[in-house]
Amino acid sequence: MMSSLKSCVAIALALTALSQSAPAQDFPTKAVTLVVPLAPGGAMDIIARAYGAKLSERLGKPVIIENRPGGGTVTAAVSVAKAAPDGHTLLVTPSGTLATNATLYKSLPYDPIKDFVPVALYTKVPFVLVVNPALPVKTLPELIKYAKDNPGKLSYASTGIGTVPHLAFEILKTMSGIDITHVPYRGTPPALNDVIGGHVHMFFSDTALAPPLINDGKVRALGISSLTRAGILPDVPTIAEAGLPGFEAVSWHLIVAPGGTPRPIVEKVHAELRAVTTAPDIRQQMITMGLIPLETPSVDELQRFVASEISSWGKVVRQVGIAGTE
Amino acid sequence: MDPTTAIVMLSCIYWGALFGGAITSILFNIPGEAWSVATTFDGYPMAQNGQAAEALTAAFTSSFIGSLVAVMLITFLAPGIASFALQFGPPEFFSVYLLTFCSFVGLGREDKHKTLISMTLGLLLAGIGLDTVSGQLRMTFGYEELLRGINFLVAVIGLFGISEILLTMEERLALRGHAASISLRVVLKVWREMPRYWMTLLRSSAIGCWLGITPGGAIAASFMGYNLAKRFSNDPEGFGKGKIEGVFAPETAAHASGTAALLPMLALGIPGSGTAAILLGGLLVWGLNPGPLLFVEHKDFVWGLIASMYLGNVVGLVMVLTTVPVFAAILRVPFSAIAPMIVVSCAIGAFAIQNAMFDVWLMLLFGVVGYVFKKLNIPLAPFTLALVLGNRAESAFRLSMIGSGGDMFVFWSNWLVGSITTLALVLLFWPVITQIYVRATRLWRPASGGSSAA
Repeated sequence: MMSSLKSCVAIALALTALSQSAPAQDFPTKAVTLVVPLAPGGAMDIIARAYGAKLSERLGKPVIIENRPGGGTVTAAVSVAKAAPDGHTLLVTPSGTLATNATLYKSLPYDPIKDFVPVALYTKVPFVLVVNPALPVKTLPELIKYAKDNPGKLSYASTGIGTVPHLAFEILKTMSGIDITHVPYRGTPPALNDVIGGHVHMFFSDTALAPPLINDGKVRALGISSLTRAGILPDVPTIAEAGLPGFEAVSWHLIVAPGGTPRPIVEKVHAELRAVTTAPDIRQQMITMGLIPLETPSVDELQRFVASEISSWGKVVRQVGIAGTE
Repeated sequence: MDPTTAIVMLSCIYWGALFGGAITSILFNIPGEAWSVATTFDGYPMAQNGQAAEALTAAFTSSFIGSLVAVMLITFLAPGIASFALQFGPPEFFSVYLLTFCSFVGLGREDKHKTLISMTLGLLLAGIGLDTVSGQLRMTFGYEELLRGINFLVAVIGLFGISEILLTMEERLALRGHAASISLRVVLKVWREMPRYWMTLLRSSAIGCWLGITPGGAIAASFMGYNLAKRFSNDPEGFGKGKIEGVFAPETAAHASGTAALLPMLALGIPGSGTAAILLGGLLVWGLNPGPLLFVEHKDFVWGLIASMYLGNVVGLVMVLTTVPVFAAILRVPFSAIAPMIVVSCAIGAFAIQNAMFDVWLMLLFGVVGYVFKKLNIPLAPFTLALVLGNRAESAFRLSMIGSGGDMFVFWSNWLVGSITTLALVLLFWPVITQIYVRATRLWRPASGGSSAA
């Protein structure tokens, strides 16, 4: 009697030990949740859904896309930082969540380095500088000259304080030494609307919404904010080509897991996501959405990448004078 | 799936949502969508008077009419009228929001000071969260759940739904709805009555189309449609007590606006509402870039979608009308059985908006707030209006100020914004103006010895 009880306990303990020692082989044991910190419908959501579908085919478990919009992506990040670190909860982040927020917020309720493990980086998000066509400038150098001749008379739109379209323009202002008033809008659609309507002069726009407006002459494109041209707008030069060598201001989509997720699980998800990224249809979809697809760097390289992004965006945020304002 | 089929499917789900928002507003005083808040004002009293079927029929039919007008607008005027949206910069938006706020003060039946108290509290709560203009956090007290701000729908579910349950529990354990007579006769009766309100329907359709084309208008449209119907009615006192015109007006405006919001999305590639943004995402997935060229390059798609709007609305109307008896029958279920179900579905609804448990607690808190407001006879509508439009009005005002360098005359800088602002101010001071007018005529008459019949 006693011995049978003992052996039962022993077997149970052995099973427990076995299940703990082989997490990567078992993963995933249930549905994987991929949290998107923005509302459905945008480029990040659409690509995440395409990724989710491919990932679930490869993992053999459903991948659920959960949109947790609001609070400038902070609330979604906090929820994933607090989730069980077992690989079943992942988060897609734009550059703001991990890089800019580290300097922008006085007390961020999560630590971008300690609370997350980067898993895969799959795209760069470029922005296209568009101006109202009534503005008598056709190229970036002409814009810079016009702005210098008319100081304080021009205004640019952004999608809010500390967003990439805001900081990108501030970098452009510093590099070219021009003075243009910042008008923070609540998102890309109202900002674009007001550039077309002439209420504000220029804007670093999302590259998915701008092309039809550029082709129809409603706005004029002067340059792309990435170092390479975007597939969706092959004729638009980069800002660097157009006259400000070295200019780059892009966001990115990075998939992260909660800090403390076992390395074998991180590597497994990393390998699966790397395979998904090389699929031609996914790459094509990213180009259609105005993005620049990337081959993800390794997990170690990603950790260094996040640290370097925190310091480089931090420098811009401090320069603009908005460090610790949120 | 073929892209046209896919987008038609998405847009038909949208029609369903537009129709469906009215159901819970009328039956339980819980607005299903932000733009159906105004539908509760007369829809719910109608249900309490045993006219749930009439109210539902009125809501669905007027939704259909509003939508039909907007689809016709899209069919005939799409590319031309889209440019109207471009005239709307921050000052124009602010003037429209101001007009909506002021129409409450000027046209409301309630005590003016209570309207102002309610509106101010709503504006205060709207300030919670991340301020988009300065990037500052406001009134979050270091609590990260408040970063998102107070979600409008969460507040409304609590204010209207939960508080109604609390009131009912206090008074007696019965929903005050009566079994509605369920037959085609009710539908036909409402339809026969409709032509009498042609002016209301026309006015609301026009307001809806106008505010739909300029982004973010469905909510403002429904409130404005309701207030103007009340203003121009022969029987303004009857509003709020179950008048069928009070259901026609907001529903027509909201549905016209919701449909017209697709126009700038198709013609300019700029979504006029959150739902239009999702449809836009759907288009992008299929490699269809909305915008001026869509009408040239993808004719089949554009006209296929527009044709589906007609069909989708007819099918939608038939479907919701046939379900009226089913929904009206819900009111016959005993209160003790249905109350827990309502609370649970309210909680699910509040949770699902942002997938946040915090919102469920917030909803319950707002239930208590709504109960207190009702006990004190403070109107809830100005509070909800301020909560939903407060942020937008504030940022439109501040962007106008940045743009003009702090010059207030930007609100009179062209005929469009100037006339809207002036109209808003007239409405705001309407109660004072009428009082002064009455006193002035009284003083003047005895002095002049009644020489004039003014």
